[in-house]
Amino acid sequence: MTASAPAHVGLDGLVDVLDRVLDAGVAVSGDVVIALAGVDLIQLDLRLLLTGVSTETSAALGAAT
Amino acid sequence: MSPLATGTRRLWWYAVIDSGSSIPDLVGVDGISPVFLLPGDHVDLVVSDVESDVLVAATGGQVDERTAGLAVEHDRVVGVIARNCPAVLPVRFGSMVDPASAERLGDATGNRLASALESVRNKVEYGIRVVRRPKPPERTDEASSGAAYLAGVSRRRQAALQQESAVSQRVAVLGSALGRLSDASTTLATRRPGQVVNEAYLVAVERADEFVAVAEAAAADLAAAGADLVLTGPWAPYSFAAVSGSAAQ
Repeated sequence: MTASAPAHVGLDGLVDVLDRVLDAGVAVSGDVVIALAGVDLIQLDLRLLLTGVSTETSAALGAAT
Repeated sequence: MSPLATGTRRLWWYAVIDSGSSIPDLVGVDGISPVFLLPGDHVDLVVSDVESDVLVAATGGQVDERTAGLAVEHDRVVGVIARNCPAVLPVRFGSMVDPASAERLGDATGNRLASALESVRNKVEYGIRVVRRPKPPERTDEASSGAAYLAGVSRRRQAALQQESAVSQRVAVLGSALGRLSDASTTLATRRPGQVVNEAYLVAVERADEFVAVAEAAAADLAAAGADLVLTGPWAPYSFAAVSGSAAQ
């Protein structure tokens, strides 16, 4: 078992970061946020780069906009 | 500062923290621009300027390793803030605001964010991942007859079922134990081959040591049953920053 820091490197570490940075966190739109990344596409494309993992993209960003 | 062609100053938004907080000196996702606060009536926004090429990498065009690097950098900044502030709401990657955004939050959104901050105050997130070890490749040279081959297949299937059952039982016990030590949990999106668990837990700082100790003990137990447990964290409470929607609501 490993207890790893969030900023670790490696495939699994990157996937752990993406699980949080892309899929979670506060998402506020409207008058406050003037631009929001196409995170659904980023998420999908990044995971295509990371062979061997898959994700449920459909539920990830329903509340983002 | 890097004004874009549109003339709008866009700031990379990392997190929400208590109004009146202070943060340490650090640079943003571009590795150059300092991170600073946009003070608001209810909460403060943690932001930095970004170079225009960073915006392109994050918000459009080709998604590549640089975008992944920006995600890691975003997490780095959020992590530093989380270690220096008692309450932090991480903001989703790629959110951009302008310098007047904090003033435009309004009472409704400001109060929602302040309330959400309370729900994660002095709490951290841990990740628990359990993955079954792959079965060893089947040998085809061990059987001296068809019957012996079939017997070997049966034994291996039986062993796999026993491993699955043993892992499931231990995972259930672990889930109950970690549930008692945490305030909330949620399932993360990624599914790896053989994965049994990919869960995030919101844990009070004063219970973190006990949480980790339970996970470590379970890791040894699961290893004997044929599965690997990976504990990650502490993270900022990304998976429990449940504020979404429009500021105009």
